Amino acid sequence: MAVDLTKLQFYSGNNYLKRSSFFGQMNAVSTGYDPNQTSITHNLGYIPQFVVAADYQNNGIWWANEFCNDVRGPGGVTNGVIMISPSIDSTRFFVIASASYDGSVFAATRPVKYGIYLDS
Amino acid sequence: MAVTDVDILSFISQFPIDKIALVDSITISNPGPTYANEDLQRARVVTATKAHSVGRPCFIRARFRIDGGEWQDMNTILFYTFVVTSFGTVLGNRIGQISIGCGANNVYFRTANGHHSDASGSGPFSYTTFAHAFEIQYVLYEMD
Repeated sequence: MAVDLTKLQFYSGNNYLKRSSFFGQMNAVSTGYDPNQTSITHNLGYIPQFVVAADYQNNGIWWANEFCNDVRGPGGVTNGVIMISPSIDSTRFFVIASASYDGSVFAATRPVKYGIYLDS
Repeated sequence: MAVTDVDILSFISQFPIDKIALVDSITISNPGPTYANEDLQRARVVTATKAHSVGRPCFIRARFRIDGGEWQDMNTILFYTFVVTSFGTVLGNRIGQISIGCGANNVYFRTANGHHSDASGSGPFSYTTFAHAFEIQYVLYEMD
């Protein structure tokens, strides 16, 4: 007798993170000295877990956390890095982009990969 | 009816979950700051790159420890304070911070070490630098 694999259900005594349909890419847009916020709407109705990776230098390297430099903060950031801070509420996922004081990247767009889970 | 061939079982989930693509680690030596003439709160950044076989960028989870100490979350920044002895001023700097990024074929690392002793002199200053070894364990998991 063949086993119908589609009938199988995963059971775990421990919970696991389940991915929502909100896994994708958005742009963080730095417009000047003041931090600039962009967002997407998920409308889950609660505050879910999320993951993010940012291409700080627009070169195909996706960073999982803060881009550390010799001096912390936008004033010490070199190499054309845009600082990106992610956050979330019950309806939207936000990224805040802060410009470097390097005029060459004063206003820039950087891609951000995000993933929103169904678990709070 | 009992399933006798467990090899035919596969994982079916109503919702997709994270799929781990690679687990690896690296140790990076950072000799510490040498900016005694200025920038007492500046850190030395040492970078490294390690190839991976996934062939596409991934999300990352990571932890690190310094000199075999306690494991830290990848977002942790370890601070300390030092004294500018001539003025009695207490300032802060970083013992350690890491950044980790992923491209299609490589994982990229940055470590920051600003750890030094109290600073003597009134400019230029002098201090003893403390080197540290950053051990980073990381997991790559699928973005899509």
